[in-house]
Amino acid sequence: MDFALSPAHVAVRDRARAFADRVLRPTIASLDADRTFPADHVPLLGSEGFLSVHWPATVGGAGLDTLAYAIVLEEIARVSPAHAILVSVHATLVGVPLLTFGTDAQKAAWLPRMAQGDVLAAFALTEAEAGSDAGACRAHARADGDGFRLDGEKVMVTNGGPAGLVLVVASTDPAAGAKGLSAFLVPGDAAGITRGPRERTMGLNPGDVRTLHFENVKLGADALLGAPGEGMKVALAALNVGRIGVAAQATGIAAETTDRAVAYARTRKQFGRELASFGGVGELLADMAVERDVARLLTHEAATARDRGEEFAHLAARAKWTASEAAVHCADHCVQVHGGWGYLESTGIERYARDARVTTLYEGTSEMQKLVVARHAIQKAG
Amino acid sequence: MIDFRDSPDQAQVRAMIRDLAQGEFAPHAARWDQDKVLPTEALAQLAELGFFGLLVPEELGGVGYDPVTYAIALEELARVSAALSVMISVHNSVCCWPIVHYGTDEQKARFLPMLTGGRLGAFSLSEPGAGSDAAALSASARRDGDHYVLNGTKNWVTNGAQAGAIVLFARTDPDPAAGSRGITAFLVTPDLPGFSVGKHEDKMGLRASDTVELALQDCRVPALNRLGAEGQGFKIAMSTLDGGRIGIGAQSLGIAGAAFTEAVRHATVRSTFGKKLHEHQPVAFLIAEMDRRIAAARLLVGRAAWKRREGLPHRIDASMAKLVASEAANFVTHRAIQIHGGYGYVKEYPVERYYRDARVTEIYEGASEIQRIVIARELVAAAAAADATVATPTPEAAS
Repeated sequence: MDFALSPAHVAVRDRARAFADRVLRPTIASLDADRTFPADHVPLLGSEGFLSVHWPATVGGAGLDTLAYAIVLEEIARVSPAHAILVSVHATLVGVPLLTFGTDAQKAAWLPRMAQGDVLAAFALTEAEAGSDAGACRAHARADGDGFRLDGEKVMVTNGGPAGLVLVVASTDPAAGAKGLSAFLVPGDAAGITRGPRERTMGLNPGDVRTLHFENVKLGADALLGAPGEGMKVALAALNVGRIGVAAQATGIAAETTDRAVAYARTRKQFGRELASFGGVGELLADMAVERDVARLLTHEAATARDRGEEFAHLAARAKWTASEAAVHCADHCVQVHGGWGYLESTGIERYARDARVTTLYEGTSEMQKLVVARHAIQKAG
Repeated sequence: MIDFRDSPDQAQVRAMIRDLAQGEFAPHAARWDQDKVLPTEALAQLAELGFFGLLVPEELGGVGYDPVTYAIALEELARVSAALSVMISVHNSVCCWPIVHYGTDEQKARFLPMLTGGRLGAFSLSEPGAGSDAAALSASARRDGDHYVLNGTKNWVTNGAQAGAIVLFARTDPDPAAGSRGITAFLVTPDLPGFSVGKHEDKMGLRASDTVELALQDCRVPALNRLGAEGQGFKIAMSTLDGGRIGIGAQSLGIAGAAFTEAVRHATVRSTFGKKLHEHQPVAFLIAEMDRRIAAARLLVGRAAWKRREGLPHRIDASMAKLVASEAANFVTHRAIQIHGGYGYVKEYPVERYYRDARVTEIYEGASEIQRIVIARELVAAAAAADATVATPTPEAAS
């Protein structure tokens, strides 16, 4: 057992923390209040290597590992969970399937530009009637000459507005259900794509989330990612790593809100004593710190298992489930410790409670993660 | 480099102890519990194999396990018998360890060979009127020439009736204002005049381990048996308990692991309404919840033990490990009974024993409430220290 971060991981953590404090912290309150998509931050994230942390250098990536990726996302999410999910969708939900299933030409066409932030990517799996049950998706692509024609509607697409590349999962064989799904690399400016209005989300306000409509979108043969029928496999490969990213994002929320609650509780006085000296408040702080540490440990456990090439899907599910609940609890406790001040937009505390809420939902609800964890435990025993 | 798995050496120790415990002790654990039998043969066998000197360096006659390997040993013993593991844990963590770390050479030479040789050791801090609030203890120690004269009653002493040596805390400064600074540690032996063993407790769980009250009536303890300086006792107790808490965390992990194995087994064998139990979603969710709580406990116990091994500050880590692992043990054993239904409530199956054994882990060596106080206090102190540093503090480079 070894719990020591390597010097390289400490270095990337310090760099991400410095970036988040210098670039994100001064702007996040207004980005959130005005629901402004931080377009000018995308190339800055790119030039720091934060859009491609766990991609090999050969495709223009930063050449680090999944652990480094989790560490960077935690630091970004401490300040802006919205930026963290922007990165996660781009670098993992699209980047990882491209790296895993892409041809050399597909990788060369997209990854270097994505690494720099010249192209932002979005992942389009969920539909109005296909959420956790992704296999029920109805978007379809029919063969057309050498290529395909894509029709359908995808909802809740993060980065949907500015995306220069959309990974779309659509059926190529409706009779085959989940086994008839295929993945497509769809250029964001392809004719036939229309974008719905930006959703007004509860949190992650700077995020650009919308419905994308695909109407008779003509795609070349080179748009197919992986083999026909491999769409679900592509999506799961994306989501398994994506869950490590969401777990890291949630850990960042838990860490920041714990720090802020401790900082407030040790200076704020009521009844002539610091808040932290009241047993009931102390218990809240202790529980927050425990949940934060557990979230981080489980996230790093999943990340390092992937880096060693081991099976990690159940670890990612366990980390995502636990860290997202930690984020919700810690953000809520942080509001509680701050009292009425925590409820004011001006203190920047309530934002974390709004941002945290989605982490138990997206990239697989807690209920889906529990099924993955239970199934693995049962299989291991059998 | 982060790697939360057992190293090859650690995995080997784990497998060795698991084989021993499963092969030699598991067949007897239920009987020890039911009949309140002290497992003397098992203890003798463990002493033979070095388990009485797990934290004693080799040059002092022990086997010198590091804290990580030690935690693995306790976990594997607890998987079979929590009572056996607590006897070994108390002996090593809170009796041998403080002697190794605070004892004089003469004290080490006098006490360690006996302890590593198979005579149990004990630790005695609690009193009827001072449990969690240990600094309020009232047993007194008055200096009289080259002796101290001890008076008072101590309780909840695991191994107390069998112990060849007891690390015992008493107040050398009678001024109540001295508080924790008035406490001193002593090495008390059962042959001393004025020492007697009182009632043996009849406990809910850990029934194979003996827990007693001790009476000190003008008990004359040689000054040579004072451990550390006068007034240093509370500090010795706290640093000893940091290690003890990791031990209880490891014990909790073992109990939880055993209960989880039984719960999963039952859920895959038993069918209701035409489906295996685990195919019912609420049961599957319970299994998932058990799994993650054990995972959290394992990582926190591992981290605390690792930091202790590396010489890093670990008071908050030990408290987190003990808190989470003990709560996991209680949750998992409780739900393991639930999954077993009526079978879980009868002694034919082991889960009710696990449940009774788990209950005390949230209480002894610092109740959960105390662990949360320690954690909150450490958080505030760390934040204050970070504030006081002019430069940006370098956060700990660990997961």
